[in-house]
Amino acid sequence: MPALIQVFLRLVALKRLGVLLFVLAATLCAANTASALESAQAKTRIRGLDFAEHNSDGLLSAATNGKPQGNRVALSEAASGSLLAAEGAEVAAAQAEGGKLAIQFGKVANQVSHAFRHVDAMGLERGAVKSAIEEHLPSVISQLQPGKPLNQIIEVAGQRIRYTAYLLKDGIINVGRIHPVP
Amino acid sequence: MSAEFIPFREPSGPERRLLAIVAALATDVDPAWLEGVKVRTMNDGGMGSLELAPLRGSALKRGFGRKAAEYQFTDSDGVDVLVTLNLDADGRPFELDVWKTDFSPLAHIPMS
Repeated sequence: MPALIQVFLRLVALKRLGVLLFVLAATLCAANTASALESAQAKTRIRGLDFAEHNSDGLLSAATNGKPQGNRVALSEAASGSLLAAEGAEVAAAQAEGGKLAIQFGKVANQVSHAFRHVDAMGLERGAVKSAIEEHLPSVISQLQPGKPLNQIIEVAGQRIRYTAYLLKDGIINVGRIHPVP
Repeated sequence: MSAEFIPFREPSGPERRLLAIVAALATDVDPAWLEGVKVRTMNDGGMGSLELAPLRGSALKRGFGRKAAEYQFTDSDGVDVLVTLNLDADGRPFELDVWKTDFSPLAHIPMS
């Protein structure tokens, strides 16, 4: 035991314990910050269904036609074949039927700003754009498949915008790209 | 720090690789833009989006014109990533928009 005390005192003398405590405190702080960011997700729930017809935008396939597409095809096949992917689609469909969809435009403030940057530049109100997308998405929910982005064109305050929605395996729908239609 | 105060820089090796992939997909854009391109990181929560410096003129007051190409790949954690090459109103490469579909930070850029 005296030997242990001696070792402890030596550590204190060398200030290593101080460094150790600092590292421990920094780790705890980082864990708290991550938890706070997670709870600040810009998740939105909406009510109401809109059955108006809208055109789907096939730009993704057109832009990559005849060119290397990475593992897009393989991924789509894997996603559609997986139980989780099917569950995600079912969850989203059930939410739409119940008049509720879990839609998010970013997890942190920077990502929300990033998603809306082009419509900000158009002079459109973020709230109006967000509401328009939230109202429109239930009408195209059947077209949304896990692993496949869905591009849609809608009109907000007289201006046409295109948004891209992506269905996650847990049924949450992320919208990360919104921009004007030329 | 606001993005417009961050100086443009040379793209990293993986960034240059991704730029080359989308440049190859943008068949209606002269690929010469890729030579000597300068970039700066956008505030997108670590997903890897890049603003592309104009060859001439100011980087200020540039606005979205149209999408030139799209590319999709899977990150090392299995999450899909959508990459878009956006042009400005004058048809010049403007942004490389990288959207990791679950909004988590990008971990890896594919080799091809």
